Amino acid sequence: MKIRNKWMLTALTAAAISALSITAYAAGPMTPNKYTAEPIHEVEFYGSPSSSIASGVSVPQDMAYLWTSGTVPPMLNRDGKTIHERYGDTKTQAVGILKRIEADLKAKGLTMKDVVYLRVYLVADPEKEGKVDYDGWFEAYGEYFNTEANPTKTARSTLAVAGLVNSDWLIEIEAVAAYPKKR
Amino acid sequence: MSRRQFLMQVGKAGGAVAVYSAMSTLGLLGQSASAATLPPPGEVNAAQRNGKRIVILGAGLAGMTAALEMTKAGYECVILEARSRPGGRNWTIRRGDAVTETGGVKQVARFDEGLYFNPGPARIPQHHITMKYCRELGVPLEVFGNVNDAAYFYSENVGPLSGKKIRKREAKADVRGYTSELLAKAVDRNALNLPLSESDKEKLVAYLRREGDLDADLFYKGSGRRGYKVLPGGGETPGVREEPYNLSAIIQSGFGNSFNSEYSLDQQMMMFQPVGGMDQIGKAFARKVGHMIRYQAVVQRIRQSESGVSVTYRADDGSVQEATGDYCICTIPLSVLKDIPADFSKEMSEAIGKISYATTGKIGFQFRRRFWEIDEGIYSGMTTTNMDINQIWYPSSDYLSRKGIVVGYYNFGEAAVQLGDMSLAEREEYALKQGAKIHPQYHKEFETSFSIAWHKTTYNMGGWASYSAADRKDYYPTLNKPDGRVYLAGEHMSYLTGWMAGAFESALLTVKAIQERVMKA
Repeated sequence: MKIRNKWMLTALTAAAISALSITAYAAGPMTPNKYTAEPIHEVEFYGSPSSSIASGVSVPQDMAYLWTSGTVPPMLNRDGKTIHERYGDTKTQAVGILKRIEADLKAKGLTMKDVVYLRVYLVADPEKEGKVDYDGWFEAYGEYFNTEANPTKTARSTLAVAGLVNSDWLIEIEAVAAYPKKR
Repeated sequence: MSRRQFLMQVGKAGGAVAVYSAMSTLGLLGQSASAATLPPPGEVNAAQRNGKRIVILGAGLAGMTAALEMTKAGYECVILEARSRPGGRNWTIRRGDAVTETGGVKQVARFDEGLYFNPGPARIPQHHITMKYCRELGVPLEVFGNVNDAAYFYSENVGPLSGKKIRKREAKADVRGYTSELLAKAVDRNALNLPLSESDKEKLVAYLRREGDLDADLFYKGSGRRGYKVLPGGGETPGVREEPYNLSAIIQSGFGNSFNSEYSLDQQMMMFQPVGGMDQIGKAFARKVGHMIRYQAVVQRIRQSESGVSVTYRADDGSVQEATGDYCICTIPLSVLKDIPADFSKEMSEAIGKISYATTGKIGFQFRRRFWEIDEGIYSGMTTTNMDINQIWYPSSDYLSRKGIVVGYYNFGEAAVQLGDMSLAEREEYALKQGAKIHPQYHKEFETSFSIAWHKTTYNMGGWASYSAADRKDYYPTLNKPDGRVYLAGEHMSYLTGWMAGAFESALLTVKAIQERVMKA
């Protein structure tokens, strides 16, 4: 008789727990066991399809990175009279930097498709009314990223700073790339 | 000498034709396709003279079937495939697989290793030619539980049974019980003017008593068929039945209107699925014809002349290339083909553009616990609802294992468009919320999902061709005729739209038509 009661008690407790847990299920749409968005084989870029950059990017844990230093524009003409003649305007300087970065990546077996993040420093252009030429940078970016040849849209920060090391430089870029895995 | 060695010897002496003939004699070819019996092998050697090279567009089941059958007959084939994998809609999603829908973001499957989701075709009726190809290609099959009376009906706004999950067996027993009762009484009281003798009527009533589980007075008062409150068991446990739902409630529920879905020839049990995922079929084909496939080759233009066909495509390295042949078998879905420049006749171009495609979507939910089995005793089958999720499918494999992937929605028409237009996270949340009305375990046990909207999937742009009766009359005959040297094939060129068998049957007909034409040339 005692044993029977014990069994019944257990059954009742189980019923009560299960009723409770069902109430808990119904109470709120919590998904406590939902997986995170941790990437699996490939780098994952997030954000709106209509944006030219990614809102964020995840890299699988077993991939290696390359960080470039802040890369600066190549000189075009030492004897130029103006900044634009010596180094070009912001877009020209930006394209020059991206070409340098592309060459750096190539030397390590990487391409612009492997770039995951760009940090871009701009200074005001004294030859463009002292304003920061953001559009010049965006145009240069648009020639290398988010194109048919390179659909990669990097995560990116673009900021204006008071000055760069050389007063002729209107832009400096740091790139982060991830080494693709052989599948 | 082994059978294989014998065939190789025959091949050396007499070519493919002789092998074909020998294989037929040896009974190795099995039953030939119901729709297309290939030309007598003795005449196939016409292929040696004319029309040797076939350009096939699409490495889905139709394209690979065409390649397999044409090469058996001695033709040379090249297959252009836009994706980097074979199979087309014959597809299985596993961990790490990634897809980007048109206008969407990249979606990566985070399912655990060993679990899979069939976003496209998922079941095979036993009378379909698909079974023959699975046999020929050595694809192991297992039963797909298309009918499971332990699963539920769940409907909203349908009277007293609204918002209640009702086991299918309860609904079936009650609907059949009540309708049998009504008919039996009518017959018994001679209320119907039937051309039956008294003895016939007695037999009919006897049948209805069994069909509906009626008592001696022809009343339906519930039945063990609908399940028990307490199941019969050992010792002194005879089982406790539950009362049936009342007649008005069960009629208002409309559940009976769904029974017929499993009556149709293509949905009757037994049904089958490949062990380990539907893409085992496509992969098995690729083992035979994969060397002919150029992957990531996106067709840009189709041109033809008196003497041949030229297909321009963008290759995997971005370069523009050309594939030429004597004939072209184009298996590209009409929903995609309509936007590819081609010099088809005016009638053909118009017909291609007129056919609409089904909007349809699915989501795979990975749950960390097989609660449908453990808590609810449901092993395979599907729950039927009148919500936007439409159906929930329980897996027909790996029973009693730890985790599982459930199809959280499989819907069509407007519901598929609505879900397809949501973000991936919104689809997941929406389907979890609706499904949780039936399975309160949903949210707690959920781990990860993968969804597909076929009408937004690049290179498909639809689930399957959706012909109206007028389309079949006005446009289908044009599509079914070759346009010069271009032949269309695929599920859309069949009366088995949406079934893999449609792709097989259509490909075989096309193969036959080209071989006959070559022989006449």
